[in-house]
Amino acid sequence: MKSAKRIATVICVFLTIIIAGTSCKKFAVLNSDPNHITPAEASPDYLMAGVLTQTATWYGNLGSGNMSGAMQETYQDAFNSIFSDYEWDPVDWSGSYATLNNNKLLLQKAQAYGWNFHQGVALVMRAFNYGNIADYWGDAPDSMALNGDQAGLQNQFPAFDGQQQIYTRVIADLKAAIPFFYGTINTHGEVTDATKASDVYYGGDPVQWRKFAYSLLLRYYMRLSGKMNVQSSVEAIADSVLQSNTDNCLMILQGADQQSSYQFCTKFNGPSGYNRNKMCGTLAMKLKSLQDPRIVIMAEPITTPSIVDATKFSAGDNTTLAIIQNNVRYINPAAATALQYKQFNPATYSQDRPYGALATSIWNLYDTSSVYVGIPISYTNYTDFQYNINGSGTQAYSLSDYVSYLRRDIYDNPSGPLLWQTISTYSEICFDLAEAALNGWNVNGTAASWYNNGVQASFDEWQVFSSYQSDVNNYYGCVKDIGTYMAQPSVVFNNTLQRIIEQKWIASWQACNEAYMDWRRTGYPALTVGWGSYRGEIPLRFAYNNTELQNNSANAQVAINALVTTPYNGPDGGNSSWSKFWLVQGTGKPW
Amino acid sequence: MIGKRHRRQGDTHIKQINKQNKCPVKAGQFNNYKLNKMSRTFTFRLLFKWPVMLLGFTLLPCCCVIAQGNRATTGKTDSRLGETIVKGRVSDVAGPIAGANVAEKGGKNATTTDSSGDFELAVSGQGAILVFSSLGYNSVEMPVNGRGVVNAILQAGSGNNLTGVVVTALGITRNKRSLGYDVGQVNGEDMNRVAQTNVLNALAGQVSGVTVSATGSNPTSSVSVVIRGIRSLNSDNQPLFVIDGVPLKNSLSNIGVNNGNSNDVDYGNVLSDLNPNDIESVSILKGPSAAALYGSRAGNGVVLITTKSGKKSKGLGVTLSTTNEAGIPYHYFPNNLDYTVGTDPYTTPNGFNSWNGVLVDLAGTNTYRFGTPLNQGLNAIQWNSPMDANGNYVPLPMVSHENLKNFVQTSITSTNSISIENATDKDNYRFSYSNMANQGLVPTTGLSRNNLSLNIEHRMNSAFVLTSVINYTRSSADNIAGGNDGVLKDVVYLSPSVDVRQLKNYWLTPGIQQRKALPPVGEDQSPGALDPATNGDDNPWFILNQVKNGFLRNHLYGNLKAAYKIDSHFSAFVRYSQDLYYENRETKMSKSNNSEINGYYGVTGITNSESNTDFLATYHNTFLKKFDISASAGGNVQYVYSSSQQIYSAPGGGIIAPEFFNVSNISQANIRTASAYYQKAVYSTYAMASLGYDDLAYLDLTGRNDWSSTLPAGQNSYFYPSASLSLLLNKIFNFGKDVSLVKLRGGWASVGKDTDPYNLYGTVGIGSFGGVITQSLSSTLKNPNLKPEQAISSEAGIDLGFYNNRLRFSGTVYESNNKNQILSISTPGSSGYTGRQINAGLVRSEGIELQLGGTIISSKDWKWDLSVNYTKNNAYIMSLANGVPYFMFWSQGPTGSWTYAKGQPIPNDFDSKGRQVISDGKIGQLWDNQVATVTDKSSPYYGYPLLDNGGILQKASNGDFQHKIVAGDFNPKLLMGVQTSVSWKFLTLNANFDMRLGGIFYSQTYRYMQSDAALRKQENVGIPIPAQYANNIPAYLKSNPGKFITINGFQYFHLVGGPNASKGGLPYNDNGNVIFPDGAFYPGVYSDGNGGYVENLGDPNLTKLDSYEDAVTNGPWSFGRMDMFDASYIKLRELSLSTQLPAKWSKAIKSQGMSFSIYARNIILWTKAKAGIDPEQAFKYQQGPQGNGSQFSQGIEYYNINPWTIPMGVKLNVRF
Repeated sequence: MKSAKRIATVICVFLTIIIAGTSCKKFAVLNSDPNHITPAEASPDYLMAGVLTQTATWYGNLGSGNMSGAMQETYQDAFNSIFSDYEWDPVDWSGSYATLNNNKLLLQKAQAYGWNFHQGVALVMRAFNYGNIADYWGDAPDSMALNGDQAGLQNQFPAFDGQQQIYTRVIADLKAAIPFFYGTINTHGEVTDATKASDVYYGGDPVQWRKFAYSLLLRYYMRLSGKMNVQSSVEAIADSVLQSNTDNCLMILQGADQQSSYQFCTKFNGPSGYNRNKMCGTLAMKLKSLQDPRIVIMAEPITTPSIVDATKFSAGDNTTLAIIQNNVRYINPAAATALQYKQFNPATYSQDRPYGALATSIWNLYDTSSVYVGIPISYTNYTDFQYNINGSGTQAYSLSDYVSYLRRDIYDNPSGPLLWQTISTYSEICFDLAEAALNGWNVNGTAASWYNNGVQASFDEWQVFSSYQSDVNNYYGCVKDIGTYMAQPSVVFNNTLQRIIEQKWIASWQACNEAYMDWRRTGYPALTVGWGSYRGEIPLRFAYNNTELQNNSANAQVAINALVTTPYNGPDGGNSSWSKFWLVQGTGKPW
Repeated sequence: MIGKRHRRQGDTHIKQINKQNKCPVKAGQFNNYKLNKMSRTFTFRLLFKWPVMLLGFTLLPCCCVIAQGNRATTGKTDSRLGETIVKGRVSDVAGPIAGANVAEKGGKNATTTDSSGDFELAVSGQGAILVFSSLGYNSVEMPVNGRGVVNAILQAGSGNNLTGVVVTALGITRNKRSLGYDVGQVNGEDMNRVAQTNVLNALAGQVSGVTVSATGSNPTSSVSVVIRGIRSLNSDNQPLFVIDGVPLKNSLSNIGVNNGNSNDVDYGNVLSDLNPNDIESVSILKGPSAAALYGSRAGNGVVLITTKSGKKSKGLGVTLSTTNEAGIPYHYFPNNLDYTVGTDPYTTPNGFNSWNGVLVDLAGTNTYRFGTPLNQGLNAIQWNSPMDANGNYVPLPMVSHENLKNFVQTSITSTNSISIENATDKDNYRFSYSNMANQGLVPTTGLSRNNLSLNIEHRMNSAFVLTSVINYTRSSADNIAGGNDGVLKDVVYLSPSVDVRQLKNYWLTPGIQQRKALPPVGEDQSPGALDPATNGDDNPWFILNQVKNGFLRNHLYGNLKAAYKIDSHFSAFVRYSQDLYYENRETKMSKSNNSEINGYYGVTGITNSESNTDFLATYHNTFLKKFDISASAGGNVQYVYSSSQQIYSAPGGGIIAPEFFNVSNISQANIRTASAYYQKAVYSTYAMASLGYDDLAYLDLTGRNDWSSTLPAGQNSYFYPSASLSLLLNKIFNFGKDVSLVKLRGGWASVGKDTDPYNLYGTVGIGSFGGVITQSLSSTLKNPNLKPEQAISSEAGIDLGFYNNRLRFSGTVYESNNKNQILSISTPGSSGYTGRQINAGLVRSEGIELQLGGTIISSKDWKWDLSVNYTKNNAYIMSLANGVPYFMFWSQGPTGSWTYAKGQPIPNDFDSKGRQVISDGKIGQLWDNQVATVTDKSSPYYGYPLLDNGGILQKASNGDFQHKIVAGDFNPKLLMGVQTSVSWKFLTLNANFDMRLGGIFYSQTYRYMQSDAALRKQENVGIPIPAQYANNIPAYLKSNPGKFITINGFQYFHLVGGPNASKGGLPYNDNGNVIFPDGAFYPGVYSDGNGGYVENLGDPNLTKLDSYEDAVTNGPWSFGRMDMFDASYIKLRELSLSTQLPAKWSKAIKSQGMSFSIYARNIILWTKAKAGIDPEQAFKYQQGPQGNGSQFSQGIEYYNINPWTIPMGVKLNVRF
């Protein structure tokens, strides 16, 4: 018994030591995350800021990036077979759905708080992001999407909605959003300073949001105009859209770090990203043919211009291709012919470098047409950085004295007066209305007047005849004022859709998303591809990415089965960038 | 009967037992002293008195068995029974032996020793003879001779690896024979024979079932230890490390920490702080039944490390040890050395890479090889061309340089340590200090470590014992080569035309602009104005000297333990242990670094603390003479806290003043900060019982309940039991005298496991876009209803010993089923989340471990021991969550590793009868894209590659996940280790081999370097065309389509052509003005656009040629197979020769003994693949692809291009 007592004593002492030595905290306190806030604590303003910046970054980077390449305005040489050779890989949409998931929380909170402005923004952004998903991929989860936090396999593996249904809901969302923007900023008490700072598009102004919502409606009505009758819908909203460039929906680049800066600026990247992003020959030649002054805000003149001049070479010399004297390069026409070289000409490009031909049967090209030189689209699979007889071109740094980079003092910056992510502009609206008027619809103006307004808006937007007038004046290859420009036979409105879309295409500089949609819908501008093109045609859509195929395979397969294959699918199977989804099925466009 | 101090009195009688050896025996006289004096005189005694006292107690423990008794005290006679009670302690050279048998010779009285080695036995009279025995030791008989205390020291018998004592869970020393599970053992000597900067490396190949792999060969590289294969799909599978009862944090999360762009650093695991010299023994508890008492964290096994404690010392008790090692590189990654980087064709007048007819080497601005061929007598204007009198740059010969070889240095590691130890009946102590200085293979890198360790035990009286172990380590490095993305990558990418040694003067403008290997700039001299600020690759010396990743870690861990022996049956202890470290990291990058052109500065402070307070009460008794029971119960409170704070410059933002690295030198706009805090607690109670019968059967039962703070209320308590049984058949049946041991064992255990903190509820992160505050939901869906994981495992084994244990065999089969795994799986992004946490699935790990050892020769002068171990482990995914058919381990470019759960159909996998293969769930597949081929069986080209319009191989089905195919399996077919030791007199030779056969790995090194044509083997991969077919290549290719056209297997897909005419290059006009013999093509067909095919087989009018450098770089981004390799290897990992130096030498310096050894590591490294990559490093650390935390991806490798070295060292040990 004595020892039992002793045991009890010892155990008591030990337990006391343990309890005293350890602060027994409550588990719930221990396990509450000190590093994050909870969804309940999230602020609608900051959620909105996240949604707006994520959306603009994704959309803007696409517009000045891959879509700009697809629409042959810029060209990325050396490594980038996606950009200019159309070797499109499947694209992951998880980022868009993540944005939509944040937007869903924003909408729930805005509804719970009864905050009209935030509800309106959330509905517009839901429409905008789902619209993009339908635009680029086609069928996609919508009605069943974003429910992963709820039980049930149907929520974890969302079924796909048809592309047409998604567009229907996009339009419904935009219509539903508009009433939330009635009134002005002064009648919206929920718009605080935090809201204004968080609304990186319009600074909390419901009036401008309302116009933007109407403009998106117009955009989607025109998108669907080949598949359904939208005349009355368009006529009903023609008054309510963006009224001028001051209404443009843009996100100014902050330039604070990589994500908030122009995507190709060298401040936050290696130099090769900027160096590779050059002018594409298609746009450069088009601007040259139109004597279009907008090229001065786009491109950097080449370092060494070239001239074809036989007199600089001794007679009979057909091996010396070029010499440089006083910073001008002279090309020997005899040697050029002997070595199978000729001048780049967009009209004959597809014969000079036909897609799929043997290397031995193609012409190599140079360009002496201007101090602005772009690379012809899909020029080669690989050595396009040597275009225009650039012997010193290197794959890693892609330097060239003979091809135009983007204008360095504008685009090699993280931010600047002409650097923004473009969502929608007044010029786009003008060209939409011009097309509507051309269709004979009543949109408060003639096709010609809307066309002229659109061109004017684009020149204004890029400050061509204001801030950059002296550069315009210094460039021999362009007209010096808008009147002269508009009066040119190649520019003046000729009652064709082609002319509207071509000018819309030029105006979409650095924001080619809509240009791609228009090309897909109308076939304009008429674009050809080059020798190095992956499949011989410009692709029509983004293929579903493995993140969805591997995790939602049964539903994805239903959507893939709904795609119509084309001869350009190659070995891709149905889920190809060259398959046709509902929007382009039966339209005969673009190819 | 408690508290008697009689045995501390008087002189001590020492009797020699060992009759063969004439050991010197001296009797000493102990002074009486009182406890209360002790503290005052402690210092004096420590320094002087104890050593002197113990001089009188001298023995050579390795060869003697001695027993000591106390003459002054006679045995106490129990008046009731007429018996005499004898007490004492049984120990060996390492300390007390628990569970040793003590029996009266010829009588019925017997007992076993308790966990302290103490026993108490009633004997028939004062003339009784005691027999001390313990398996693995030679038996000893000692007459009581009227003494009350009889202590015995046993000498280890042969075959210690199979029997003997091991440290088991909670530090309890057990006889190996009594265990129902397998425990791997490595003694300190084996850990120490060869110096290692990270002591875990010394475990490699030593124990079956244990896989040790280093992330790289840098001194700070993390080391992964995985026991019995993957069991958990969501963790790094690292075991729990317990050092003297202190659980130590050992995550692999210190790898891949990004400090500035492209600067991933491996700071090493914290276990590298251990001083190998302090290690007494390592026990590896492989299965959950062994580890069940350690709870949640023991699911992947436990590595128990016992450090040395003070031992009785002859002489001063001082040991000095010095090890010096040099690692001489001998094998370099085989990169392309015969062509400069650059664009072909390399020269013609007015052509390319030339200026006015003079060749210019653009080496610094390009990545592709197959520019100008080197060593061909060509001259070019190069980056270092001097200017002649006319102001023209002078072309220099284009020759190649082995830059990797010229860049690295011999690594040197020097370890010096001193230890002081001694012991008395009352106290023992060991103090050690060790310094390790390492100079890495890569100049400027290295590691410095200082260890202080104090291990003391004080017996206040016969019942109360205080022990404490305190370790302090200060580890630091001025510069860690930035992980696998480090400077050697810059070196290997440097054009071989540039001699790296000439770039040593790396500043162009100090602090502002590094010097790059760019051609000279000049209006009339060069092809373009190449500005070093925006062009050219980093100068390796600049990276080395101006991109510095340093750290300093102060690490303190230890415990304080009070044990109280209540009576001969009851004992208890309470212990507090703490593992605490502070780590400061600092990264400095100078301006003009390509990835951070404005420089970078960042500091990170990390605090990590884990405290455990535990107690254990133990009851031990024998019943009915033959039953022995030991039961314990206890509890533990674990509390973990960690935090980190970081201040750094924004990406691209950089620092203001050059070369000034301080937070004040970052502009306000560019300062970024981050902080994180974690805490968690687990409360536990546990109990165990061990029942032995007559030394022939042992049953162990354990149970533990945990309460974890990380699980939701209601789910946070979980209980798990274990049971194991050991049967010694040789004690039941008579197998004859040659059979010394036949033991059957079996164990079953269930272990519960919690999760990380804050894993229950979704969170919103706060971010910034420019200056705008943003909030966003986490993209991974958490699970508020998590349940604890449960691992149920069982194992069975047999241990055999023959010829007095000279031949030993041990075999174990095991199976572990992990249920309810808390897994992050990937989910469709359209659900709003890209991953979610589930609590499902069943992962089965099963395997077999065999160990065969023998003392082949044992004679007076010779002894030869040989031990072979074999391991086979497979893991299976038996089930996953509803709707989730597979689990992905990693994916990388075209390839990846994922496994379909058992019963799921495997896409694109059909058996010989064309039926869909159903998965057996076995983990290990590597997947790859299919090559598009002609699928029309009626076509004569059926099976031919279907090329695109550039003549390039295409992926089938757009590389869709559902259309990928299995390329191979990363599991080895065979893993074996061999250890052997040969002794002749005073010389001992030890060798440690291991081998792996089978399995494949994917090399990202090869993928990246191949796509830049930087591999040596790319210099010539074209199919050789016999001369008679030179003008009819199609006929030759079609003569054997299986060999030349259709695609199967690994490595390069078929290609015809070469970089020049002599290597098979075909005439090709790429740039228009030069027809150059560097054409190549992929055999196959391409579409004619009308449903037909055109042959791409070499007909000049049909074939789509490509330049060789372009063709040879195609593919790795679309297909993984060409970068997959067989992972088989054989290594002679360690070889050492050690000797005890002659006594007269040691006497000359008044030492007690000197030993000397020389050793070498990695003397043989044979790899089947011959790829220049050590297959042992064919795994890669990554953050889990689904946010699973840290993992080691198996079957993939990334830039393990450190040259192979044979480190050779010498070690000298002197005892005073």
